[in-house]
Amino acid sequence: MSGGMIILLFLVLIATGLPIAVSMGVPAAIYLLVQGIPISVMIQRMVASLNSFPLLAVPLFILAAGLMNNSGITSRLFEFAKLLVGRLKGGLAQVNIVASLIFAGISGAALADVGGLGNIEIDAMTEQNYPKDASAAITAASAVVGPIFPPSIPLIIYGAAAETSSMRLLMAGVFPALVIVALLMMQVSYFAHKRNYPRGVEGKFSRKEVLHTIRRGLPSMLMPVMLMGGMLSGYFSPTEVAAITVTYALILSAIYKELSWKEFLKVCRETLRSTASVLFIVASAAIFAWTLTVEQLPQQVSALLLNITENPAVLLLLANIVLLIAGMFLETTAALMVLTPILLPPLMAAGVDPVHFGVVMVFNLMIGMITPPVGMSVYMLSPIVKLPVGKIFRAVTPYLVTLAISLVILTYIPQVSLWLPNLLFNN
Amino acid sequence: QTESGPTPEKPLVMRYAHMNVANSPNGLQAQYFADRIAEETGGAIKIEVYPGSQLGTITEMAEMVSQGSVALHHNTYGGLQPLLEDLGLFDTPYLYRDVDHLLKATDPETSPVLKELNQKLIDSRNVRVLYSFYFGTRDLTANSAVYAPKDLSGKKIRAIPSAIYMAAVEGMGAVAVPVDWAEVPVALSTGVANGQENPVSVLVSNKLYDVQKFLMLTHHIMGSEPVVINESVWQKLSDEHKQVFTKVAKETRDWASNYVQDSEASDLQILADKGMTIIGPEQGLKVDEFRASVNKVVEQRFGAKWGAYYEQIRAIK
Amino acid sequence: MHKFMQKTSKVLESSSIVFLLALFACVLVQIIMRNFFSSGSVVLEELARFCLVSLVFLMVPVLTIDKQHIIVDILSARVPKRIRPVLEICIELLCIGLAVFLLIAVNQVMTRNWSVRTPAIRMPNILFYIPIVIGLVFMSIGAAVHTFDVFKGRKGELS
Ligand code: NA
Ligand code: NA
Repeated sequence: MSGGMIILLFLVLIATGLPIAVSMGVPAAIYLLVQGIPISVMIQRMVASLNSFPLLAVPLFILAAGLMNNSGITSRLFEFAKLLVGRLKGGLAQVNIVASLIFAGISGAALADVGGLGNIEIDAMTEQNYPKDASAAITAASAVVGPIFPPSIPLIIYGAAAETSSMRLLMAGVFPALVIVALLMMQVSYFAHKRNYPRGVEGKFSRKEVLHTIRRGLPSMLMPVMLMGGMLSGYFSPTEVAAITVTYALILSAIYKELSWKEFLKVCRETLRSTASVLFIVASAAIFAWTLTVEQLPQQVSALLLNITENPAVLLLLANIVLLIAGMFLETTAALMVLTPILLPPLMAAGVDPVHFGVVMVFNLMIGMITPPVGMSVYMLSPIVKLPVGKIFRAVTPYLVTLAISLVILTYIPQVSLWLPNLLFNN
Repeated sequence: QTESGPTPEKPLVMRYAHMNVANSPNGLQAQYFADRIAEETGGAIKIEVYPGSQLGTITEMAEMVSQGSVALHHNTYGGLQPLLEDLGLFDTPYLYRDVDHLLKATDPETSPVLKELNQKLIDSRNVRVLYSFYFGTRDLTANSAVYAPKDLSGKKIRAIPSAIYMAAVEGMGAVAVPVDWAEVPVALSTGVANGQENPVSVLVSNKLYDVQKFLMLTHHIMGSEPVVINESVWQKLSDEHKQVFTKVAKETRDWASNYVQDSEASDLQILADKGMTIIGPEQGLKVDEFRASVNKVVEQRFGAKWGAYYEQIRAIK
Repeated sequence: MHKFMQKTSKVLESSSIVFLLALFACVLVQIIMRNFFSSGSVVLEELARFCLVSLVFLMVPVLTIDKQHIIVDILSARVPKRIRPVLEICIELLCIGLAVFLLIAVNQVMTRNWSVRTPAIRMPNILFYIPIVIGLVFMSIGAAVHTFDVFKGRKGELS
C-alpha cells in the first residue's frame, strides 16, 4: 500500500460524507493491518498528538472568543472601530475590516471572527442598505486576518509541527496582517467611490460621544497591547496567552454584567464541541501522517521538488499552489499537520526560513476558508445573511484578487514577515 | 543459513526512530549503524532511519519499541524512565570520573548495574539495550557570569522536566523552569529563562550564542545514550546476525564516542569565536562547590533508591 | 435507547466541562506561580494536557450522537435520495469499525504497557486511558444507534 493509495482512499472516503477524522483514520488502520505493524501505534500516535502543550491554546482561545461575543466586548470593539474609520466613505465596510484587525489582536481562533463580530458588522451594514452579499463578502475577506495577527492557533500549531519558535512566528504575522488590511481598505475605498457607499457616520462625533466610546471600549482595546507586551516581556508564552485572554474576558464580563452563569455554561459547551471536532481531526491526521512518513512520502516529494528546481522562488510558487488547493478542501489544522512535514524540508533545503513559510502557509489556508468548494467562513455566513453560498462566493471573488496580491507580496518579500521577529529576538 | 532468512532480494526491514536532526552527531551514528549493518549483512537487513521525531514524541517512541511498531531507537537514559524508572540513574549528575568510566558503566555486556536493569527491561517491556554511546557533557549557559552556586540564586534556568535533570539545576542553586525546546532561544531572549544547560554541540547547532553571553564549564551531567531494540525483533535474528549486530554496535559506539569528543573541542572554539565568555576552573569557576551542592540534593532525593547502584558504578575501574 | 444516549451525552458533556475548567485553571496557576513565586510546576502542565486529551475523547461520542463531526458534503449532498440510506449505513459502520479498531489498539497498549507512567504525575497508562476508552465505547454505541435508526427508516431522532 503506497503513499499515493493512502491519500486516494482518504479522498474517496471524504467525498462520501464520512467525518474527516474517520476518513483519515480508516486508511491508516488498513495500512497498519496490511503492513503487519502493531496497531497499538494508532492510538498511541492519536493520544500523543493531543498530549501536547501548544494545543492547550485551542480550547482556551475558542472559549475566550465565545466569552467576548457573549459579554459585550465584541460590540464595544465595533463601536471603537467606528470611531476610528466610521466617517470615511463606505465607512461601515472600512469599520468591518478594522474591527477584524482589532479582534485579531485578541483572538487566536480562526472563524471566531465570523460568528460574533460578523453578526454585528452585517446588521449595521444592512441598516445602511448595503447589499447583503457585499457585507458578507467583506466580512469573510477581513476575517482572514484573524489567525495571521497574533495571537493565533494555526501559527502555534505550525510551530509545533515545524519545531519552530511560535513566538517568532506570531511576531512574523504582525506586518503581513497590516499589509493585508491596508490592501483590503484600499479596495473598499475604491468600491465605495464607484458604488457610492454611504459614510458610516454622518457629521462629526461630539466630544461626549468620543469620550463615551473610548471609555466603554478602552478595557477591551487595551487587551491586544497587554497580550503582546506580556508575551514579549516573558510573562507568558504564546500558548499561555490564551488563558490570560479567558481570564480577562471573564473579568470584563463580570464588570459589564452581561454574562449569566447559564450563558457561561452554554459558551463552555459550544467551546467543547468546536474543540473536539477540530482536535479529533488533529489526532487522526497524526496517525495518517505517520503512515505517509513510514511510506517515505515526504522524502519522495522532497526529492521530486528539489529535482525540478532548487530555486527557492520557484519552490515557493509550487508550495503555494499545493497549499491553495489543499486549503480549498482540507480543514486548516489537519492540513498544517499533514503538509508541514512534507513541504517544509525541501523549502528549508533551498534556504527558505521556516518562520517566513509558516506565515505564507497559514495565509494560504485562510484564503481556502473563503473559496469554494469547502469555504467554512462562507458556510458560516450563509445562514447569517440568509443567502445561498454561491452568491456569497461570487461576491467574495474581487477580494480574492486582493488577497492573492497580498500572498505574492508575503511570499516574495520575506522581510515583511521576518523583520519584526529578527528585530525583537536579536538575530 | 535457514531458507526463511532474509536475503538482499527480500530484506528484513527495521525502522529506527529518534528525535535528533539527521546530521547531528546522534543522527549520524544512527545512520552509521544502519549503513554498517547493511554492509555486514550484504543488504539482507535494511534499517530505515527516521530522524527528527518524525514517528513520534520521545516517550512515545520508547513505547513504540516496546510494542514493536518501531524496532530501534535511541534516547537518553532519563528519556527511557517511563519504561523502567531505574534507568534514570545513569543520568545522575557528577556520577562518572571520565568518558571511559561512563562507557564502562553503561556497557550492557560488562556493567553489573546495566546488566541487571537490562534484564528487567527485557522481561517487563520487551526492550533490550543494544549499546550506549557518549553524546556529550552538559554545561551551563546564562546571560550573566556565574562562578559559584550563590550566583545562581533566584535565576531561572530552563530544565528538562524530569526529576533527575531538575535536581541538577536546583542543586546548582537555580530555579528550574520547564520550557518547550522549540521556544528556548526566544525564552532566553525575552527572559522567561535566564539560562539553560546542554552539551556544547547543542549550543552551536541551535545558535544559542546569539542569546547567551556566558558559558560555564560545570560539566554537571556526563551523558550516554542507549540504543534500544525490540526484544522480539532481536530474538528473531539468526545467531550469525546477532553477532553482526553486536560487532557493529561496538564499532558504532566507538565511532560515535570519538566523533563527539573530537567535536567538543572544536565546538568550544566556535563558541569562543562567536563571542561567548567561557568560564572554566582557570577563570575561577568553583566546580567543587557545584559538585558538592548538587551531590547534596542528589543524595536527598535519590540516595535511598539508587545509592547502592551508585556504589557499584563508582567501583567500576 | 435514545433517552439513554441523550442522558449519556449530557453526562459526557458535563464531565468535559469539568476537564475544560481544570485545564484553564492549571495553565493560569502555572503562569501565576512562575511570575510571582519563581517556581515552575511540571505537574500542572501535565495535568492540563491530560485534561485536554480526556475532554476531546469524551466529546467525540457527543459529536457522533449529535452528528456534529466536521464533514465535507459537497458530493454527498448530491447523492439520490434512494441510495442515501445505504451510504449513511456505510458511514456509520465505518465509524463503528474505527472505534472498535482503536479499542483493540488500546488493549494492545495495555497488555505490555499498562503500567508505563507519565513523567510528572506518574499516572499509569491504565488510568490515563480511562476517558479515552469511555469515549470510544460510546462513539461506537452512538453510531450503532444511528445505523439502527436508518434501518428502521427513522430520521434524526437523536439530534
Ligand atoms: Na489573532
Ligand atoms: Na470583519
